[in-house]
Amino acid sequence: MPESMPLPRPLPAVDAAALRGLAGGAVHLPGDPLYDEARMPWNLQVDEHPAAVAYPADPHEVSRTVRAAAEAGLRVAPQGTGHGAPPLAGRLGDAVLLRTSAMTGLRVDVAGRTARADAGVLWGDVVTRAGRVGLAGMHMSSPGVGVVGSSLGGGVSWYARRHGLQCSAITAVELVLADGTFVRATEDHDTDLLWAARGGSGGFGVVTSLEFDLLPIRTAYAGMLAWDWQHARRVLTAWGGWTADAPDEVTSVARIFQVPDVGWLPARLRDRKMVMIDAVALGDAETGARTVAPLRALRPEVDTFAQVPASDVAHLQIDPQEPTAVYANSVLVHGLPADAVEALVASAGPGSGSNLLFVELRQLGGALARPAPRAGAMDQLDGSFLVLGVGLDVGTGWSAVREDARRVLDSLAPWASRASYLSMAYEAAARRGWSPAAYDRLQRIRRAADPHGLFVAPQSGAGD
Amino acid sequence: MDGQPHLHLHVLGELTATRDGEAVDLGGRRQRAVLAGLAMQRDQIVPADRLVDCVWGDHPPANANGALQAYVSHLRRRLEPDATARQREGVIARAGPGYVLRLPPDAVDAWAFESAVEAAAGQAPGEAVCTLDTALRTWRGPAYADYAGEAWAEAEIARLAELRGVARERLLGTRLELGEAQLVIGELEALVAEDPLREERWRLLTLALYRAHRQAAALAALRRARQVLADELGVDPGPALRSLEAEVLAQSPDLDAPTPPSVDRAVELVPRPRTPDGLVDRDREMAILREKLDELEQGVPGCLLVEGPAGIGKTRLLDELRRLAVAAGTWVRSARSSALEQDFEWGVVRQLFGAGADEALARDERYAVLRGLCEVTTHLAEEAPFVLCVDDIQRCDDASLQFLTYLVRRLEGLPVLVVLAMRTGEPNRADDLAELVADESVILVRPAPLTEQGTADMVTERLGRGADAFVAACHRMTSGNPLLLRQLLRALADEGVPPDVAHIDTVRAVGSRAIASLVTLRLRRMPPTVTTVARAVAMLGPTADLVSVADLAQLSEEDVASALDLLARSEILLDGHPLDFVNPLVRDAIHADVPAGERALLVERLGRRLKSSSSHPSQAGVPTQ
Ligand SMILES: Cc1cc2nc3c(=O)[nH]c(=O)nc-3n(C[C@H](O)[C@H](O)[C@H](O)COP(=O)(O)OP(=O)(O)OC[C@H]3O[C@@H](n4cnc5c(N)ncnc54)[C@H](O)[C@@H]3O)c2cc1C
Ligand SMILES: Nc1ncnc2c1ncn2[C@@H]1O[C@H](COP(=O)(O)OP(=O)(O)OP(=O)(O)O)[C@@H](O)[C@H]1O
Ligand SMILES: [Mg+2]
Repeated sequence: MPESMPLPRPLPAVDAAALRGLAGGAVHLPGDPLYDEARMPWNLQVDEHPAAVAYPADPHEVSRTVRAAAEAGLRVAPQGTGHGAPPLAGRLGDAVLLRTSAMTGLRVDVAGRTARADAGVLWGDVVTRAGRVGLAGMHMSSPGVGVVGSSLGGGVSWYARRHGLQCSAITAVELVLADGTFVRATEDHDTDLLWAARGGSGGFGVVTSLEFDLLPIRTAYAGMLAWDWQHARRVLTAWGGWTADAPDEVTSVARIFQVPDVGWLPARLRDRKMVMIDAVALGDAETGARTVAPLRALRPEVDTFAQVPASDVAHLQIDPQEPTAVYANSVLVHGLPADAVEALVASAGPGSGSNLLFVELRQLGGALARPAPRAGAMDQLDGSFLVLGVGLDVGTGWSAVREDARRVLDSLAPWASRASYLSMAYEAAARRGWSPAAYDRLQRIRRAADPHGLFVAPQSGAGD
Repeated sequence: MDGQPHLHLHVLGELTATRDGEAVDLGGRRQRAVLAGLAMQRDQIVPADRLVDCVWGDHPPANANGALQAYVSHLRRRLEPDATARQREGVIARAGPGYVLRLPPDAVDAWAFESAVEAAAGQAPGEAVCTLDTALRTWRGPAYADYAGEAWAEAEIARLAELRGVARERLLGTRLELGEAQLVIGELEALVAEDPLREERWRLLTLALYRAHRQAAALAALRRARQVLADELGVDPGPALRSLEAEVLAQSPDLDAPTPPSVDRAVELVPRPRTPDGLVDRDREMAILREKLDELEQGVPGCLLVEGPAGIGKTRLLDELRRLAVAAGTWVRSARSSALEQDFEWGVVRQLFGAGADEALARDERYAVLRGLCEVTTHLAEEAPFVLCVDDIQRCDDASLQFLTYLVRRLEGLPVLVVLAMRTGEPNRADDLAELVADESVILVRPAPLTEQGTADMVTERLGRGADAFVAACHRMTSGNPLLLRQLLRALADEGVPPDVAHIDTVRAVGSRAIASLVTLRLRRMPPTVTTVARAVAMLGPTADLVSVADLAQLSEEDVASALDLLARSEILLDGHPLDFVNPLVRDAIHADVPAGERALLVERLGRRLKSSSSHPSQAGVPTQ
């Protein structure tokens, strides 16, 4: 990933003045009072100076913005929240950053158990709205993540081992192509684009709406267990064994967490180094309690398990909500044998010297290991765990953070899968995000929808 | 009382009882009187001799106490047939020198009724209507109907009847609050006919008529009330009716129904204020208004000029002034200039004085007219000091503006407070205006942009307590302009956006639109009939009303009515009448957004309408009396 240092950059030479007045006036050019605010993504590590930032509010305005950008010789980079901004770093100088936050429409169809979310909708909105009528969406761990960006990227939710990737739940996508035309892609029409939207991560248009299935989940047995990180080896070994025969109804995440003393973290954990397990089990409390009993038997210091409304699950995992500068990278691994736990603890645990905020192991498998019933660019994940390293700049600079993460991920190389989950692996070669056949098809679809490369590609090293 | 059979005593009507829904035979009238006497005292002990009084009045039998005991034990056997004699002390218990009824509060309909009326007072309108309506349905006739006219029952019967009257008034009053003005008029007429001396009923009736856009009938109702009270009691209407009369005449915005709760999906999610939004950040301005009103009461004249950019809150300050004036019993005469009427000579003056200006306006020479109008003002001021309020004078017709300038220079000794509002930053052509602004006796009031705290208060009111960063974004995006802020918050509320840190970019996205496009965007997100109706209202201008809008939009009046309702709830139109947009900018935005084809069609229909109706556009905006 190109390192992005907060160095002042010269203003782009290109002229985006032609875009002024579009999107009801919600276009900000360099020098405008709101430009600096509007160009910043959720991940503040990315500090780009696009030629313009536009906030169109409906497909019509999107289309006009796309056409105007093309006419002005600019490129277009669609962006929702900017949680997934890192791959864009260094590539926006001649682009219009087309932010989708004004498209806030959200409809939940109770009878059909579906949702229609416009491109500016966040997972927290879906969770709240669907929760009111006893439904749940396959939301990401943080409620502030955008529905569209995360769905295009696959989407591993707390219900993934039972119900698969969020992108496989997509039933229709509406988008504006590079020539400004509007398309609604379904199982019957423009099926290629629907296929691409299911995990193809973008580069074929500006998505304006997604329709996807919801799940009839009212409550779940969910909670967190935490120990001092001295227990990391014992706990992770036991957890690794437990995951091997855990039912698909349960999805869990283990983390080695070096909790800094910052406001968004729970006070009782602040300034501590912990090993934690979060888990969500579908079904009733009794079954859930039976499932996680072996983990609770490891005598955690904190135990918050309870049967909770499904909407609480969106707040289970501790993630920063406010815009934050974070570095993240991940690998997919097969299995978690004792040696792997050993390697992990040695590189991220006590005495490792790692300053990462956390290293996370997401339990995959279950439905994620089987091809989804609905065909899509991404329809399964090749690996039984996703290992993610996340760091904040703790004063030692980003290269030190990156080095810490590299050390952890490299230590797991013997177990690594050939695949990468690109939504959380920004430095991996784009090819590794899909099967070779899917990758080729995706490229063909992108070329057809965007023959002149108007859209900034979602991944930086597209070809390698 | 778990596991016990459910015993219910009914006294709202003839006295009866049911046990698990089955009627209980309570015996003869005298025996039942024991129960009546006990029920009236609720959980108080009723001395035996008082019960004797209830049963036999002035003619008790020789062994009255013994006979009473016999009635009691008969009643116990009927009320608790399954219990042994000793256990039967449960419902009618012996206590000290008498007896007490031991029943849960909901077992006696009169008790339940009373607590329902109390409970309703603390409930939200929708719920209160339900509570009151249910409670009133438990009445099957006059309370303790079998004992009407008996001295011991009289007070309680009267008390319950009074309570029922209050409950009926509150029910209709609450339905009125919920926007059902049309529907309650008939019932209010009936209530008034039943007891024309209850002023509350006249008040509600007047309010309902007013809100149903029947101002003349509202004023007539007030006259009828005045007449009845004078004829029957020889008194004047009380303060409530008197201030209502002043409000009706002043068309006070306070009279408008509060926004009814919405059934719309997204709006449902947002806590909705029941009163018009609180005014924020205007303490200083309000202090000036209060001071000038106080001085006016002392006979001191004055002139205030509220000026500032579009949407800063000038009209709102005039509304607040009207509210204060009405509360103080001071008369207000208001007018509002509009672009449509700018070329209509004396338009504003006509709005101010109605037919009262006719004679003066008929004079040939301009100065004679001005002098005449000053005389009209003087006559009115001699009756009582009053406020003369003109909004948007930057668009006032030249003649009226000349009068206002002329008047302001001659206020000395005249108990009149002239309050003018002017939008700045627009080209205006009149010299008189410049002269007015420069006049040293004119006090300038310049409402400032809202502070971050004021913004926070409005966010809380619309979306719930906002995260600091969310509020800060709202403040930055709107630069403290209240119109922009309210439209932004409405747009966010329409989509159910919560005010948390995750949604800051939503604020940026929606809030960085120009106000006009923000308004049209909001409109585009509403159902198509609503857009059509809003466009028709914008095209019609001040002449718009339900019928003309329906005609122009070619929709049924029902559809138009519900679209108008949604538009008012969405803060596009003002809630109330005459039909008007919350702000001229909102109207202009919608007007400019009408697509060419539709515009041509509407203009054509409008032309046909004007030809077929005799109404001259000059009458537009003059409130019908
Ligand atoms: C705190 C945090 C928690 C996370 N939790 C999870 C998790 O639990 N599971 C998981 O799978 N992932 C998770 N992620 C990763 C997340 O799914 C990706 O970062 C995703 O890209 C975010 O989508 P977004 O729309 O919010 O971000 P954005 O940065 O706005 O979008 C990411 C990319 O998607 C594309 N895109 C977005 N909107 C459009 C559009 N309208 N049209 C076309 N292309 C578009 C663009 O290429 C854009 O660069 C998490 C990330 C963070 C930072
Ligand atoms: N201090 C305030 N607190 C809360 N709301 C306010 C305040 N001032 C104005 N508003 C609201 O903001 C909106 C715009 O105000 P208003 O119509 O009074 O502006 P104006 O200055 O008269 O604009 P114009 O020049 O377009 O006539 C109204 O809905 C009004 O109720
Ligand atoms: Mg105004």
